[in-house]
Amino acid sequence: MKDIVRFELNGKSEELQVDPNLTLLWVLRDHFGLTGTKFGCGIGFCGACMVHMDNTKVPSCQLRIGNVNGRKITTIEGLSRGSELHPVQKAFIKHDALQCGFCTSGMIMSATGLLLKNPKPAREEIILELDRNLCRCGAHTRIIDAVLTASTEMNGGK
Amino acid sequence: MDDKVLAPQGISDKKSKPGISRRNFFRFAGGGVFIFFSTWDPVKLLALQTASREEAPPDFNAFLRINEDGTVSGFTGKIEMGQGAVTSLVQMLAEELDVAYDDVDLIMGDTDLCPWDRGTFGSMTTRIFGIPFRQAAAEARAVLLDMGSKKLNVPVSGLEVKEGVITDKNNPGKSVTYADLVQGKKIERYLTTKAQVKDPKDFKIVGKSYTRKDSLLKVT
Repeated sequence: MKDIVRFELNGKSEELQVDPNLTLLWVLRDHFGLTGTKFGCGIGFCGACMVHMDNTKVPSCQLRIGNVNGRKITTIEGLSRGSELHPVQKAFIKHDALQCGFCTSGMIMSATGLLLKNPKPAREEIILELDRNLCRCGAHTRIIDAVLTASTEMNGGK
Repeated sequence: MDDKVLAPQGISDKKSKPGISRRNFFRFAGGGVFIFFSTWDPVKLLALQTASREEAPPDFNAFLRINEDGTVSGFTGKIEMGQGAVTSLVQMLAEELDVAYDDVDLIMGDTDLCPWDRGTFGSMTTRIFGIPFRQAAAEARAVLLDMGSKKLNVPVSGLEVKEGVITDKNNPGKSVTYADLVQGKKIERYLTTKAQVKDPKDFKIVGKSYTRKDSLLKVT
């Protein structure tokens, strides 16, 4: 059975006929070809599939596409403005806050989600927020530094 | 040109998988200077330790190319999986060839373009693969210097290279770029290991911190 689902994806209105029980993750990857969002554990634990729904982070592997109807979704591909990277993306590059990169988009989506609701988080708040984004390369401390740098930049250097 | 299949040799006791056929290889390759080389069997190499190095196999399982625009591309079946080889191997190439870090790229694990490789494991990319990789770059530099020497009519010893520009030491106005030398040519060399790699004390690029080659792709 297929339903019509309409939602905003990275600033663009989309409409598709789809099995409403598919997860947003696989619709993003298979239908839209947006493979920046990763499949990690598939049970909402690892954070690799994190996207924003209405500016709040959500693991896309836990979200049925039927429930996305009328919502606004942002993925890692939708963060930059043209060729201008989001401050968090820039800070990740500056701090070498990645190795294999598998967790990176989820990390960045969690971090940008945090900065939307709390523009000046303390180090402890960043650690708490990113706690459920797993990275096995060991880039954690660099990731935290990157989020702090981005937060400072977004607050005009303060 | 005969269409024999280039397969890596001296790597496995089993019959090797087919490599890239020469004809197909040169169809995609276009112009430039090509240095082909082979990595040795890491297990054998480690076992031999002090014994003399194996003779370089006649075929290749990696190569580098000085492109017609003077940039450098390395092709290898090794892959980047976060360990940073895509950055560190580029530093090695840039160092030995005296070209800018940004003018070097590495094509890794693309099965259409890259020769067969035994695999990426055991922290061996730098230790085992890095050696012939640097030697190949040094060989390419020697080939280019030789060409530059003929072009400028200055002996190789009187030349220096900086960021892909060969200059007469005694007459800095007299220079030629890698791009000029390579333009419209197709030169093919197999690694002889005669070219001297640089002494670590002369390193300008290796050992320094560079932005990872793969970071932009991974954050977008």
